[in-house]
Amino acid sequence: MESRPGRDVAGRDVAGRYIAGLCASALGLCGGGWLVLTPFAFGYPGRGREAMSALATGGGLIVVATLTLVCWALAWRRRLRADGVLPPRQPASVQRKTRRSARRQARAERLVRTSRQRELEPAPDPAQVLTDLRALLTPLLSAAEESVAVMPPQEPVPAQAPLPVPEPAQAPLPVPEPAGEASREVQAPGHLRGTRSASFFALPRQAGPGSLTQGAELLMVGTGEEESW
Amino acid sequence: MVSRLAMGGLVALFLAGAWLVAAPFALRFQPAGEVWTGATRMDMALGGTLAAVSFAAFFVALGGRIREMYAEGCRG
Repeated sequence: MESRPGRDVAGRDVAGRYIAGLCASALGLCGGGWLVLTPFAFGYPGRGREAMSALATGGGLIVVATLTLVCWALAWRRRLRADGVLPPRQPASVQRKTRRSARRQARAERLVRTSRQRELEPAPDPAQVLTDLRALLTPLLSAAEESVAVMPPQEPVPAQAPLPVPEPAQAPLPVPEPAGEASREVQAPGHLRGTRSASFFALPRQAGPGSLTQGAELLMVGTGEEESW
Repeated sequence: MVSRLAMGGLVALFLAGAWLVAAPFALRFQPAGEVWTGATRMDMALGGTLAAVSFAAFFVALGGRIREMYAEGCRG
């Protein structure tokens, strides 16, 4: 059998007595308030019997009606708990623990939410970073290659004599074709020892049996390039 | 305990209503045999209403309590 609101499973009225008590208490409260106000509203003679009677009865009525109202509300609440309509009351310590755990839970959720937002911030693309870096460094590297390629490979250079510094803008010398093509190639990220480095090692071999000092200097220039990458 | 206090409150409300009805004559601000003053009329109306309502509420509550006791007795 399905129970209707305000009635138990058997169909008996459960809430009627509580509602009757609450209504009577509320009426008493309103009547008490009205009685307190009447001496001022109707202009009773001050400190007369009517005024004193109304004030005293009204005050007492307010107190009694308030107490009765609270008692009926508590009784109804208790009945609702007993019937399972309201959740059972927990001890104060359990309520404190529940509140504390709820606060911790909320704090943890807040932390998780903020960390998720941080993760969602867009990270810079490593490939894009490498491309930009390459665009910046490519002119410098081509200038360094030209300066290396200008050196006369056949003539042995004395160890004490400084290398002639070429002026690439005025007289650019032809660079060997494979090495020049390789310098324009796009290098994959992380592929540091590419064709550009190989071009430095290939130059002494093309020059034939050059001096040992020139090869070492070329090797040093090549190493510097690697470090710059 | 709370139910008993609530029932006692209804009884007190009934008594307050009864006192309001009787107050004009008890305090002699309404002479007997004369036309009722405004204060007397108001006290009578309010006291009578309050007494009637609290009386009815008391017996409604009492009837509900007795019904509950019957139900508990049948269950037990």
